[in-house]
Amino acid sequence: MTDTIVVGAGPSGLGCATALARSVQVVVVDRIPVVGGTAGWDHPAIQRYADHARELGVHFRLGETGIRWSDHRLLVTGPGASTLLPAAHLFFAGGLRPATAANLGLTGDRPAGVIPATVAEHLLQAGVPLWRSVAVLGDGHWARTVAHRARQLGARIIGIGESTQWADEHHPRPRSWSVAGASRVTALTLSYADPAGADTHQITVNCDAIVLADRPLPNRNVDGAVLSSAADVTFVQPIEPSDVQGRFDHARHVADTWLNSLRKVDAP
Amino acid sequence: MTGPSHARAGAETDTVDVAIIGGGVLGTAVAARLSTTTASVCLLEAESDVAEGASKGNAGVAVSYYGPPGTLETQLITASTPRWEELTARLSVPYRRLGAVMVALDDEQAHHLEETREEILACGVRAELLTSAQTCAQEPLVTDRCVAGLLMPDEGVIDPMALTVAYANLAASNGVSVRLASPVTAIRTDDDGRHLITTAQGTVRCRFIVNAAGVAAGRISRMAGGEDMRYWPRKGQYAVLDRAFAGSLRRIVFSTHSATTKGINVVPTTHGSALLGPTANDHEEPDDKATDADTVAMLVASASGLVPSITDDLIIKYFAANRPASDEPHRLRFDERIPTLLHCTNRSAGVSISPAAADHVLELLNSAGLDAQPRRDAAQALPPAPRLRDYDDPSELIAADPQYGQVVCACEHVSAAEINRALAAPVPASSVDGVRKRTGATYGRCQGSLCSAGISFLTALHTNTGPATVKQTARGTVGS
Ligand SMILES: Cc1cc2nc3c(=O)[nH]c(=O)nc-3n(C[C@H](O)[C@H](O)[C@H](O)COP(=O)(O)OP(=O)(O)OC[C@H]3O[C@@H](n4cnc5c(N)ncnc54)[C@H](O)[C@@H]3O)c2cc1C
Repeated sequence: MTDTIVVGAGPSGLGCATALARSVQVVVVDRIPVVGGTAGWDHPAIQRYADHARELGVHFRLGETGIRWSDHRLLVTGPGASTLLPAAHLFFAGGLRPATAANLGLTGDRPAGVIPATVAEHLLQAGVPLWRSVAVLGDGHWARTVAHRARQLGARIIGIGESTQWADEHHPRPRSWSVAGASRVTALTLSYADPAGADTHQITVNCDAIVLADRPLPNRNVDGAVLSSAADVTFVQPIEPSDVQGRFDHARHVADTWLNSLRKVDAP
Repeated sequence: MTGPSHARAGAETDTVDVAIIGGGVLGTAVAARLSTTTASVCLLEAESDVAEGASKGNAGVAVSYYGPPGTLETQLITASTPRWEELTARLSVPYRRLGAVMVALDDEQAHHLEETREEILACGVRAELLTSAQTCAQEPLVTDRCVAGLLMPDEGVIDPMALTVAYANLAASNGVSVRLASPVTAIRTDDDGRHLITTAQGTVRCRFIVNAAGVAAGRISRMAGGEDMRYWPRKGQYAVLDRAFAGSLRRIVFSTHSATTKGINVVPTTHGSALLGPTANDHEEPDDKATDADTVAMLVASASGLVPSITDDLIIKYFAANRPASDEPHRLRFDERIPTLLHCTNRSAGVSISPAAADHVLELLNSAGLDAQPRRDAAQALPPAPRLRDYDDPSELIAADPQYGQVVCACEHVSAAEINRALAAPVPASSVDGVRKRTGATYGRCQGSLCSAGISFLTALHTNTGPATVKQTARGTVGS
């Protein structure tokens, strides 16, 4: 029986795997067919971590998706096959995603043109000028890249958040926000509490796209390993540190701590 | 008699026996029913997809009871209730007969509950009064503050968008001409009594019109010279709860009806999530489907009165839709002025009545001289449409089609096989939202942060367009 499974082959997953492999068997699963996660497979440090993990005997299942964790088995599917992988413990290192409209309390209409930052990044990478005037909601780490690419492609950037140096027009974070537009986004309404009283004042920002680029939240997509109370699961999805080396080291530390706790239980 | 077996937005003139206006759950149900007969049929839908009106934004409760006995609506609900298992198996539509508990939180509500039970029994439907302890045993997540409950074992939940799409797919595969992006703009009646319907994409000549245009039914009636009837939007807002929590709900949880409102409910979906809602607000603008923060806060407050573990951080999405409200809450009858114009609308239970309503419409048309006979070569079922997520062990499924192993939507575990099937169906998905409506992809807790770029590319490929021009919704593209 495999002792542990790590879901996610980004810096955090590789950090876990490297630390665990010194003491227990490890299988790493990732839905993307290469290692690296959002850091990218060609990042030099990623290559080093992955090579080292392989030397330590870590087994990689890349291009396969973890779906369900129950009774100490992870259901994994890939093109052409599915497997039930047994394990004593699951480390979930599935990375981060931008806060959704509901996470942000963004109400109003639901027209085309409201796009998660991760998706905007992909689409802008295709090099297509998508929008004329983009409201970038929030100042998570995606905001800067999306703003930069969209501007290169000719869009005007409206930044909404605390630190939006990358924008052409700035607005502080409102008390609430809502979308307007029947078929396509036409505007974003920002409501601020008036310092004087309970009344709010509103600003309407005209735009043809809204990119959700606020604080990161942990991705959770393996059933049975979603809530933090899940049994026999350790979540390794810190917001900070955000650099590759920092995340790798943090994950190693988490895995070491888990190994130590095992030793304490095993000791008489 | 029958047109080509695919959906199209053609510009030619069709001559048919029956033109159905509106591709919601009622229009498509009627189209599917007529498609198995000798009648020639055309379905005209204004939007670029079916299920874009009320049929997109409802809770999908296939109710066993909605109102007093003796009405046509009640008759149609009662006739539809026992049919769901057979129908949804045949159409490959997700359905769960969960049963419902209606919860009373004080003595006054407990009194109402008894009245409701009397009415339900008078409709010939099963309902059983429960003590507080029995209520909590039926649904352990219900508050222990409840003083009484009512068990309604025949209630179920269905995927209302998948149902509408399945009706449309069956109709199209039996030769119904499904004309999307074809808003009806004028209706003329010739001397021989035939109607000539003008749409944005060509014209249709027909003997009978089925007016299933939902909130626009009054406008259609006026265009055809029929009765002057007023329809207005009654907006209902919902919040969607994460599957990780909602998966533990066993039953639909209804609040006790009062004299004025049916209240806020907690409704598990066929996707494993749950809906909190709906509200009911009359307004004037059919395109207004906006949600607002105060209403969302109210939904959570009301729902947590029934199920205390509901909190706002479990919400993954908000949406709203408009019921087609009118002075007749259901109107399934011929026009008083134009004997070949058949109205087919329902404000609040259109999903629930749809199987029997379609039969009823066929009977009415036949009684008015349509003479539609059963057609032996007509398909009664759609090909099976398995979902990866429903399998504890999907190895055989994946062995038969490797694309089932390729998970595109990681939160909802929707495979490439399911997405490609939706994009290649007789009435195919033509937007990212169209894929969501048919498969549930992007409907999970990350709301497409991970997968909607991939789905955009797949949709662009199938619709012969690029990443900027691909449709995100039925009305709008990803780029502008
Ligand atoms: C919030 C809410 C909750 C609900 N909950 C439930 C429930 O749990 N169970 C239940 O059974 N029912 C429920 N309902 C009611 C149910 O949704 C409706 O009764 C049903 O969807 C009505 O279907 P329809 O086909 O008549 O209308 P619609 O789905 O609105 O379809 C009408 C169609 O006509 C088209 N159209 C309009 N004008 C034209 C034109 N000029 N030319 C061509 N096409 C046109 C529109 O684009 C639209 O697609 C709920 C409704 C709402 C809003």
